[in-house]
Amino acid sequence: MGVSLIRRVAAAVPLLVAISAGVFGLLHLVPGGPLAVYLSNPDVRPEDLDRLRRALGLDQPVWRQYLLWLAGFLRGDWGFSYSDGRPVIDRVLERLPATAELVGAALALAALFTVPLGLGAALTRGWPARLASLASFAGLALPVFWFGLVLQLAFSLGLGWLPSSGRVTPGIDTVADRLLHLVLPATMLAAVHAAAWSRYLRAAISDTRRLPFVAAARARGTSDRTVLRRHVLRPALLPVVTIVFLDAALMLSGTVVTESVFAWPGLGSLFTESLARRDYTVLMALLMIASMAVVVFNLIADLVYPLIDPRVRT
Amino acid sequence: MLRRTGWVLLAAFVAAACGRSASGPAPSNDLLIVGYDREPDTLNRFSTHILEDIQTCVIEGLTITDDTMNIIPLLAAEVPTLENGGVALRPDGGMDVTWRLRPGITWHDGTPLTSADVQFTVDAINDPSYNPESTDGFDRISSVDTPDPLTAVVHYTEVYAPYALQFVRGLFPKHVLQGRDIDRAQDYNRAPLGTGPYRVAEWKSGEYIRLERVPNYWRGSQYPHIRQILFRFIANTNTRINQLKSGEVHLVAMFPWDKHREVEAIPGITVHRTPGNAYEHVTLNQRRVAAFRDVQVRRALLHAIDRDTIASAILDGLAPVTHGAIQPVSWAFTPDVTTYAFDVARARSLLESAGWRDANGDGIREKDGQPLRFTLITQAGFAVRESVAQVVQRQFRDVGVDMAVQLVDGTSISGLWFEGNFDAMLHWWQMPADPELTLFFAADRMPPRGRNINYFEDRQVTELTYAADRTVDQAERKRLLAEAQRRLADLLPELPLYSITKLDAVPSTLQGFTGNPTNTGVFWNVHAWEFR
Repeated sequence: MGVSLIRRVAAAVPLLVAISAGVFGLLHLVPGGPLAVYLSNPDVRPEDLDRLRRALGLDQPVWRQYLLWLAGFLRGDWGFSYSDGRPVIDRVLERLPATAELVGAALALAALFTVPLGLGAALTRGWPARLASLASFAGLALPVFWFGLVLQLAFSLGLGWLPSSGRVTPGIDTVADRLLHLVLPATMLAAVHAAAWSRYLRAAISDTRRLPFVAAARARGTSDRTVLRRHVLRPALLPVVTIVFLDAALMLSGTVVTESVFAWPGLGSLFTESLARRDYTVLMALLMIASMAVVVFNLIADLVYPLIDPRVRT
Repeated sequence: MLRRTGWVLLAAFVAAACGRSASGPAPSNDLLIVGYDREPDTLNRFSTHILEDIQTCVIEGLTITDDTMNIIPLLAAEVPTLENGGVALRPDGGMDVTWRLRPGITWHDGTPLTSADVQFTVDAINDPSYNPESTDGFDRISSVDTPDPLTAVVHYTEVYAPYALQFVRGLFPKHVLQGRDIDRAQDYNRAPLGTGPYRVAEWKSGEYIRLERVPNYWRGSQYPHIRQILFRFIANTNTRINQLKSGEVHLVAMFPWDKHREVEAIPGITVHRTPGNAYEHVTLNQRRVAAFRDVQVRRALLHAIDRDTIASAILDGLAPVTHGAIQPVSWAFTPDVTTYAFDVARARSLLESAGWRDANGDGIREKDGQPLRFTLITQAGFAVRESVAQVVQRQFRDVGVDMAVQLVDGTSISGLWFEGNFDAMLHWWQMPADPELTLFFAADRMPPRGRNINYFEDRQVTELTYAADRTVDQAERKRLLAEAQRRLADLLPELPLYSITKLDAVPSTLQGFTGNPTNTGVFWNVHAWEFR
């Protein structure tokens, strides 16, 4: 177990280095570097641009810039933001809690919707089944951006129940206030995943119900509820749990759109801002975090699976 | 277990949701909430490239530009001029500017503001170890003398016409920043020490900056009237407007034109219009497209565009047609220039006489076998601009000119124009508060040395604009600039379309709001704002 873990982590390192080189190259290929933002200000003279370019090290060849970045990154020195001159690590850490909060809430909400939707679609017939299917298809088909704006229109402008955006009401900042602000963005982020997961769950339940041990349990006279809970739902949840872990990393990228719509002060909005300013150091840090998250959650999924399904243990 | 946690969360949400309504507090002299489209990178006014609204509330310059773009004294007792003896031209070609500071002004920490701060500011900006956004003008200062605490004499190596705006961004407090690495002085850069009506009370990254009024502001203890101003960062335009509707924010400065009707309909909100110091135009890259080198072609293109209809139909009357780079809001503006009315027949005959004819009958004119064809780039995400580009495309087509339209994201487009990597571009220039034209039209100011991205060359224009830059006498400067404007209107290096109007959504109960056409922003007179 321990050896295989080390082997897997070791295998991930060259992958991450390759990703970092690719991403770094791509970022520099996009027209308009970190100095482009200065061009809109008529007071910034060509001499100023030259001076700033040298100060930021942008006059160096790209491969050299990359090696410098990589050497720093490996030492834990993520550099300074091009836009505000603060250490990148500070900028990332101050935004991390907001994103963790959002992703956590979205995961919980998605799980909450998945079980009834999946069960409903699998166990009922006629219109309830169709309704559950429709709901999950709708969730998959929704343009996420639009869905967020509709949530705003309905629940904050129309009904006036919830704040339209932000993380807290400045000056109020209570737990209830934070929860209120969390509802809409978490729902937006959760919708797509809940829809996808419920489709998996429905399929898994349908498959499991046909297996011999379910028939055997029924034949023993076990009540329907118990059969469902112990013999059907538990094994059916296994593939879904794996997908939840894999998707948790993907949710991080989903926060880019959600945080922009809801002015949520997390890593997603930091990414959008940094992209507009071509703040290479911050972008690299965020992209590396996202890549590492995918690798780590994959590992976790592999590790957790044997714990919940004894059959996988070797 | 997971399910139970979920239900608990849901119950908490519902309970919280029933607790209170979404809309925030109404705007009042206690609190004004501003919906701001982005978070500043720094509040150090010399380091930033962001519009300076928040800084304007905290840091004051020696002068400021008012709502009609006049330069008025702020921390200075008066604006130095040749007439009042504040400006002296030296025989060696340099000049001396004497600034007299308003007496009795202190920094927010109680330290008196003195001429030593002026001297320190110049030294800091010219120090190679600090990286300000712009050193414009400062690089022409050889030294600063401080004969007394309220007098600073600034020695320039050459005549510098925009000298009155040299310290518009404020001063560095010497007692805080002396001997420090200013780029990394986060205490100052995140909460700068100023002399203005407000100080930074709180900066929550990604969320908001809260300003609090200072006691004993130098204009009098009744100022400012509003106790706190909160700038909330909301990058998404739809979200920002939604917050305005729900009352979660009270004021949104410079919102996009296509939201005009939507915002006008919000109860309690007044849309304030300010004629801006910016103009929308089509840049014609002469280096890339040979046809643009012919003045007849350029004139024909402008005759082919129905600017009046664009201004009334697409722009909703928000942007008047303009005929050049200097806008009516500037003192240097002259209306006395050649104009080009919408005239399709004239456009066609000009193209004919320039040798562009449709010989093969495909509807596109050719010359020497080359069709009159180019691509216009413009920034994606500006609904109004996209519509204008389409109309222009259609109208060019009517006179036999084939223009393709390509939408590019904002940062990329800056890169493209800076490299001269485009045929034509629909965009606007925010002009400097000082009417300086060299940067945009002098022959030696093509990138990377400037913004002459029409790659336009005319000796007379170059001489006139440089002469204007080196003239401190405003009447003479105005004459030179008028001549330059006339010459530019004749030669038409680019196609001027319309003057930009800035739209600000403000609470109807707010008194004292005037708007501002320059980069100083609408908060230039925030001390006088009051809710009644």
